[in-house]
Amino acid sequence: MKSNDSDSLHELLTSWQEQAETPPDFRREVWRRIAAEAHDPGWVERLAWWLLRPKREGVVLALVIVLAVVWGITHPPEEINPHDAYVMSISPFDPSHLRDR
Amino acid sequence: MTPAGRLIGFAFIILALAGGTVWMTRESLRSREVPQDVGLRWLKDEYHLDDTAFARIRALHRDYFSQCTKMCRQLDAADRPLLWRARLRDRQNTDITDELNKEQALCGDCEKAATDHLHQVAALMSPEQGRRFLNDILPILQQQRREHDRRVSSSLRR
Repeated sequence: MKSNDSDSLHELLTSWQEQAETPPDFRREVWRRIAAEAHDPGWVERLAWWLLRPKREGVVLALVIVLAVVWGITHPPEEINPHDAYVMSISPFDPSHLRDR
Repeated sequence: MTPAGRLIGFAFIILALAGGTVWMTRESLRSREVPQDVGLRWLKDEYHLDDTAFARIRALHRDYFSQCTKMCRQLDAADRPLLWRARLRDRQNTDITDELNKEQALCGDCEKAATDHLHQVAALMSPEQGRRFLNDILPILQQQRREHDRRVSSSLRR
């Protein structure tokens, strides 16, 4: 009984022909609806989209390294005043006296 | 990850890289000379020492530095409990007075050793340069001693 039912259903389905036609502007309408749903990207998304690509990331990192080296060279560490260095080395009461021992 | 999250992560990487690069660059430019050598070089140039006098002064400094290091460690050990307030609260006044006396005696020894050393150095210069040297360095030594004593006594008063 069950097998007869499924056979007839199968026949019915295979004999079924769809007659409907898509309207001529179907695709355009689909895209219009998608566009209406999507929100405008903010500046963060636009910047991330523009910047976070392997080549641009590499260029930015290289630029940062070059600028950091240039800044380090143009701002060298302060050297100790030679007179203060002498006082520091001989005076037992200089706060930095024991630091270099 | 959201675009903002990726952007923040990238900014952190940039900051860390920039900081590390600046630090490494500056450290590579830092002089490796110890203050003792910088000071001795200044002494030679400032007081126009010839090579013989400078060699003798260098030897004097070497002896002084080895004696000084020993004395300064003792002084540092004597200073520490006096400058450390929390330890003083539970102690008797007599203990503190004893420690202060011991510290002052050590300070006196250190000051005398430094003063003697400076006079020995000055004796190896021309009389005029020697006087100029002592007039420059001795007042600084005495001023630093006064500041040291003030630090210790204000720590005891707190």
